[in-house]
Amino acid sequence: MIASDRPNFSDGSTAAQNARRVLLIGDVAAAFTDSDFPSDLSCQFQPNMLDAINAASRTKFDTIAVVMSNFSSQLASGLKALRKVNRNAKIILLAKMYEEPKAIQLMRSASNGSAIANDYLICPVETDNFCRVVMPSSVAQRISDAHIVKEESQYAIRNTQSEKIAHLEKLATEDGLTGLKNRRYIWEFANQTIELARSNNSEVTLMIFDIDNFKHYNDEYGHPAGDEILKQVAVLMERCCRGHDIIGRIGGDEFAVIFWDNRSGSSCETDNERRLALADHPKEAIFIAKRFRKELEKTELPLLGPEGKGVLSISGGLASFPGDGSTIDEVFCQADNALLEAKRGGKNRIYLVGRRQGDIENID
Amino acid sequence: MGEIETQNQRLDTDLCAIVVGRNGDSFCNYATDLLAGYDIKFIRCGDIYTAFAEFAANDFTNTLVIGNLEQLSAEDGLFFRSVKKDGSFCCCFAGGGSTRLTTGGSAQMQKRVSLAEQAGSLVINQRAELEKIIAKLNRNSNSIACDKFRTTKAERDALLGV
Repeated sequence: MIASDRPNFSDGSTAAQNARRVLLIGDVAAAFTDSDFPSDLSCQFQPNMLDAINAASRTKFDTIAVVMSNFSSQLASGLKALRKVNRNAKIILLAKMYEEPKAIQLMRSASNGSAIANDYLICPVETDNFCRVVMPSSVAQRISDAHIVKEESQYAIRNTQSEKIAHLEKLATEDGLTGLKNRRYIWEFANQTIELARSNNSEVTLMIFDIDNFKHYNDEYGHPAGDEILKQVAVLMERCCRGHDIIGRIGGDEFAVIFWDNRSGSSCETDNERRLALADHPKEAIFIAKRFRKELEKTELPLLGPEGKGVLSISGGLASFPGDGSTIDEVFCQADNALLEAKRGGKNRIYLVGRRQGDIENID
Repeated sequence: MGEIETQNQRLDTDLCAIVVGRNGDSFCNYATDLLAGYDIKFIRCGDIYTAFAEFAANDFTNTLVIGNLEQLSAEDGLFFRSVKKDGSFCCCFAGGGSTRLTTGGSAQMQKRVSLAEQAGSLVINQRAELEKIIAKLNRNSNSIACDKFRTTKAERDALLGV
C-alpha cells in the first residue's frame, strides 16, 4: 500500500510507548468503514503475506489482522506461518460476508490444540468494533462503555463485552422468530456475492418464495400456529440447502435463498466437497427447490389438527446473476416477477426467469 | 545428519537447505534423499510461507532453498527476492507436472522463469542437475553463490522453446 492510500491510522513511530501493536495485512483501506483509530493503537501495514511474516518475526505484535479476500487460496498457510513467528499474537480475520464460513472453519481448525485464527470481523469493519476486539478491555471500556463498573474483573469485562457484541450482531442480522438471516443481511450478502461473481466470472441464483394461503392459517388457527409454520418452513429449507447457501426471512411469510459458488471451496481435497462448493446455475438451485417442495408436502403440522398433513405449499421465483440481471436490484426484481407469475399461475409452483427478458418458465 | 527435528534452531553447518513442497512431492522427496546422502542439514516445509517463517525465525543465511518453480514463484516472485535479501538463493525445478519447460514454454512459464532468474535463482529442468549443484556447493560451502550454475541465454531459450 502506498503511503497516500493509507487510512489515517497512527504510525508506529509516533504512537505512545504502551500502545497496542497491531499488524494489518492486505488492502486495509477497503476493509474499514473509516480511519479514525485511537492513538492507543500502533499500526503497521503490510500489503503481502511474506513481508508480513518478516515483520511479525521482528516485532512482537499484540494483534495481527488479515484481510481474507486478499489471500484466498494460501490463507491458511500464511496464517500458520504468522502464528509460528508471533506465537502470542491474537489473529483476527477481516472477512467479507461470504467468507464467514471459512473464517469460522479457520478458527476451529486446531490441529495441535491452538486455532489458526482467534476471531473474525465482517467487512466493512467499523474502527470502534475493531478497537473493542483488539484493545485490552480496560482501554476499550474507557472508549466505548463508561457504564461498566470498575470493580468488575478484567476477565468479566472482556466476557461481558464480547457477549454483548455477539448479541448485538445477532439482533442486527438475524430474524428473531426463525433464526434465519434478516432482510438487511440477505440484501448485503447478495450484493457482496454478486460483486464477487462479477470479478471471478461465477454465478449467483436467488430464490424468493412465500407460503401459500398463509393468511388463512393465521386467521383460522391463530398467530402461534402461523409462527410454527414459519419456523417449520425455515428448518426444512435449511435442511435442503448446502452449507454455504444463505437463507433469510425477508418479510411476513416471504423467504429468500442465495445460491452462490463458494470458490474458496475449489481448493477442497475431494471431488465431493468441490461439487458441493460449486453449483451448476440455475440447475442446482432448481434441484434444491424441488426437494424442498417435496419435503414440505410430507410435513405434518399438529397445530392445524386433522388438516395439518400435506397441506403446506409454497410459490417461488428464481433468477440468476448475470443471466437475468446485472445488479442486485435487477436480480431481486426478476425473482419477484417470477414469484408473482407463479402465484398468478395457481400457486404451489416455482417459476424460473428465462434467459430472455420477460420469459418465465415453470421449473416443474 | 539429515532433517532438523526442532524448530527455531539455527542451522550451524556451512551449507544448509530448506526444501519446500508437500510430502507427496516426488522432486522434494528426491531432494531430501540427496541432501541426506551428502550429510547436509535441511528443513522440509510444506509451503513458501512456512519456509519464510523458518527464515525469519532462525535468521538463516547462506541457505539453499529447493522446490518446484510453480510453488516458489507464487506472489509474483516475492519469495525469490525475499530469500535473496538474506544472502541465500533458490534452486527451482521446472521439469515436473504442469510446469514442464519442454511443453513449449507458455507465457506463464516464461514469466516464472524470468521472475526466478531476475531474483538470482536457479532454474533446472532435470533432477540430475540438482545433484551437481549440491555436490559443488558442498565442496565450496563457505561461499554459497549460484552464478557458476546459471544457465546461459541460449540454454534458457532452448529450455523455453523460444
